[in-house]
Amino acid sequence: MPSDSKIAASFRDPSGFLFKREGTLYRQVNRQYESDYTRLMQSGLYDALVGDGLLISHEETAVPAAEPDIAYKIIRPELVPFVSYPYEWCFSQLKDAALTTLTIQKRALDHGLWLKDASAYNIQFHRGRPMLIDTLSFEAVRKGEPWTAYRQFCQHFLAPLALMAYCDLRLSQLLRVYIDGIPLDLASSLLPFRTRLKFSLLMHLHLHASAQKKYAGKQVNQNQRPPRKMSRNALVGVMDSLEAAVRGLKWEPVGTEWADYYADTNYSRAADEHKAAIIARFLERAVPQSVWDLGANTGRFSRLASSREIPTVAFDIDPGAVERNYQKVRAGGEINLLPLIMDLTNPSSDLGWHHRERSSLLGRGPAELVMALALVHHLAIANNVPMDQAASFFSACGEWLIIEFVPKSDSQVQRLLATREDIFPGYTREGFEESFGRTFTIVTAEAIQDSKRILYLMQRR
Amino acid sequence: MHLFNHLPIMMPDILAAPVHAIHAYLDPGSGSFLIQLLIGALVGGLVLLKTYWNRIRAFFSRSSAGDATPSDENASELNNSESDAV
Repeated sequence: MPSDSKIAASFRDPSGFLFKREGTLYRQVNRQYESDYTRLMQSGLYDALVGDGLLISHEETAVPAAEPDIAYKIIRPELVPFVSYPYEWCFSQLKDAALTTLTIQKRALDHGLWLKDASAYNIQFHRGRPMLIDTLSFEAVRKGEPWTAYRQFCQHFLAPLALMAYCDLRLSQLLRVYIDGIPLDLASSLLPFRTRLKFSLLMHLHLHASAQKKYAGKQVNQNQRPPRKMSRNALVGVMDSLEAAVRGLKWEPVGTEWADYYADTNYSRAADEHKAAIIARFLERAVPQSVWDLGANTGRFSRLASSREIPTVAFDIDPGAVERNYQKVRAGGEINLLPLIMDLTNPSSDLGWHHRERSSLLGRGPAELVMALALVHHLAIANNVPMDQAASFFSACGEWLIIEFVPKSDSQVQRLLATREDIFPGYTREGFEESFGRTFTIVTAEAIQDSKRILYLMQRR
Repeated sequence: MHLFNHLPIMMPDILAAPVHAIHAYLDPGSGSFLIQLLIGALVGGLVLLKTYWNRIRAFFSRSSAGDATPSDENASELNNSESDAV
């Protein structure tokens, strides 16, 4: 028997599980899920959803099962190059993921199926669009019953979106703490009173939270009278109402730290163009299969990689910059660029049961090439990260590194130093090269015209 | 939340409805089930009205446009909520 490693994120659902064998990802479909799987495949729903880019495609394979006693089929899903999580998404990414979930749910209802879960973690951004990656999320509609996943949808999507839209964009980070979505009583207590005046938010969040509290752990009047039925119209009405609630939530990037950074740069047009030309040359030299752009802002230089058909993840700490970047991706139909929110001084860690349900940033790497443009001064001066520690982190992120050194004389560094004591005597070109030279081989270095900055191409030793 | 305490007066039948054990791997939660029944009862009628309204519009647009234009416009309108969701 080949050695299989079960993917820890898929342990909750008894319908099947993911496992890796010799580097290939498979999903075992268990016998208990046979009828729902057959219905998904034969009803035409699978073809329709895959055709519209709403569901990940898969192939049925004849490889031996990981757990043969309970196995019905082994399928090989199409691979998503980089798995991301809701707490790394900007507002519109979470909103699009929510709308995609509802669209799939409505399509499924037309085929006599529905989603048995509505986890935001079942949605991934693949080829620039959100899609469902859990093929085993469908089951036959239980006629007359309300939607089982309703609570999960509200906790995973509606509550964080409402909090982001009405309170503060940064509240999406609550999803890091609450792995099964934001508790509705917490969301309800944080949301301003005016959200109670909106019918959909009043019902799905505030009254929903109160109902949960009131009926916690109770089976109300069981067996005393025939159960109340949920008609199909009622079910569709609830989906329409959830969709209206999600569509009604909006957020526009204004006044965040970096959203208008490119307008506020100290680069001349010539310097900007020269910088892009150097990066393009470096990319052509390293020929990476994957790129992480750390501190990508709105993705101006990430696109040098993604436009070369290299799967690229553009990380930035500022949700406004990530929002703009994502909107560009969506407007341009870009398929190789994934913008994500990431604080490099506290990157996503291993979370969930046994620390294995959600991976850390480094656990999802390494990339082949890392870009750190106009970043090192923020780490070294604004966050006191010693230079050799920055080099160590970048080397864990990828083999190749394109890094920009911004000297103290640069106006952006002067701005960082304006409000604090200069305790960084080692922050010099020589100090930088010495620190990074211990971890990386400096392949080449080029000064950016019309600026004081230097771009390096480095390879891990 | 105080508001909810008044709702049983408004919708006594729905909130007194039994919630049976559900054979699902997620716990749907009794409160979540009840509130969904309530919302379903409130908005389900709208879905029905919308369906009839669309049929009426389809009927009139067909009769005013003659045989040349079948209910394409109406059909695309019905599908709109799905196709523009992503």
